Amino acid sequence: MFESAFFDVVDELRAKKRPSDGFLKSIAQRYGLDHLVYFTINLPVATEGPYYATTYSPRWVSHYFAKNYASIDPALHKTLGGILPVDWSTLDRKAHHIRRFFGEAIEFGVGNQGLSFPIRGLYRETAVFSLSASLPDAAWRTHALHYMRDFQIIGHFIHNRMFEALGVDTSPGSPLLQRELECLRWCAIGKTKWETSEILGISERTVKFHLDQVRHKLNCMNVTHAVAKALAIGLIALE
Amino acid sequence: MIRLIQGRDRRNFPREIDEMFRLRANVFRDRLGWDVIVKDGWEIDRFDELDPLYLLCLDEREAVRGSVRLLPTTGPNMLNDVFSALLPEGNPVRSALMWESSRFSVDHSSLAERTENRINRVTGELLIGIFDVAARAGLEFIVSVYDVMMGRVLKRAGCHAEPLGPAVQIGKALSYAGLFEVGPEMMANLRKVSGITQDVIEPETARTIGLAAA
Repeated sequence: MFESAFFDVVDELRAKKRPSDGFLKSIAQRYGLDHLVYFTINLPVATEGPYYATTYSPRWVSHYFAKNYASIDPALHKTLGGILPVDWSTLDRKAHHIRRFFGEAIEFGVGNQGLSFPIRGLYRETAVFSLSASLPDAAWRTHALHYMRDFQIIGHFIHNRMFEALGVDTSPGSPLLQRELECLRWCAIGKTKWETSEILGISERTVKFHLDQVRHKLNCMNVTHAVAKALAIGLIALE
Repeated sequence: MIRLIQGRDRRNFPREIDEMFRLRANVFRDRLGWDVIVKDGWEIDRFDELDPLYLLCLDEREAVRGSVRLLPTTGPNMLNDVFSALLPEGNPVRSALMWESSRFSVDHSSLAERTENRINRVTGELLIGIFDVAARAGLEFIVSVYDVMMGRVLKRAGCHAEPLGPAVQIGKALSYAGLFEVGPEMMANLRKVSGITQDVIEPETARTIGLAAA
């Protein structure tokens, strides 16, 4: 399920530039999630206030702002203060107003479970990317582990796309290295990481690392996406 | 036992934080002779202002015996911003799936500890803590700058490192940038060598900062 969702999202991304609310919705649907929300503060360019994109209902968004929930939302505060993803099920709900906040969130269709990811960027900016779902605790625990890795990447991807749309340079500032290109070429003709490691005389771990660097430098969701992009822009050729 | 403290929660743990920065002064300035700045007894630098994640190893009296600092590689970090000479062609390495570990410190009495295992308890707990947290956060790699001496400790610990670039003389010591893969293989090695079988992360702080159950 997760594998195919990932590839569907890659297709979607090729077509679009700035991640819209609709784009977030399509990712949420493919992963069987109720909602996604991206929110960034201290942008390196002058804009009006924080920027966000979300699939939440407009009713919940206006309720959230009207009640000034940003000041008490424990998921938001924990996420902004650290580098760890925050599982909402671990948040302290003893206080009456926090219980009410989560209760209302469920009423407005946010979902009873969620994960929030902090995003740190080159300009010392911070963003938060959250996903939510309606699942019983046991099912959630299994799902949350799978979501973790994919959404670390998707969160950064959306963050970079958002910055590009705002005219901020998000390029990593370094070209693909020779070794990275070699790994990518072997990958493009179907060699496994192990085979590539044998061919190049380096460890499989290092091949995995090089390919992850390529993925990051090309702002891609995964290595397959990176191969497609490298072929499209002529970084590598098939022959 | 490993207590996790997020940078922004620092003020809630004044005693632990004070002990950690003093330990770092003791380790990096006094013992290793690094060119670090110590102010009022604290070794603290600009990367501590970025709300990193600290892993503190506490003994049964809750005294700080070791510590390490983690930062995402997508933002500012030591390897890319200070030690890029250790990277191939000086090119930064960044990924949403990779964090940097820095300021790995173990107090003097723990180093002198006699044990049947190849590494001392504090080193073992810190290493297991790093890779446990990283796995729970969905990461694939840890990257770190280490010197020859730490390289030997890592080797003894079964903590396999891939050098990313050339070894460079930094201060008194020959140093490397090393890549570590997060995963069950690493965890099994560390547990075997250290003899530590139980969870090292304090459940209370894991919950407080919102870390999902393993």
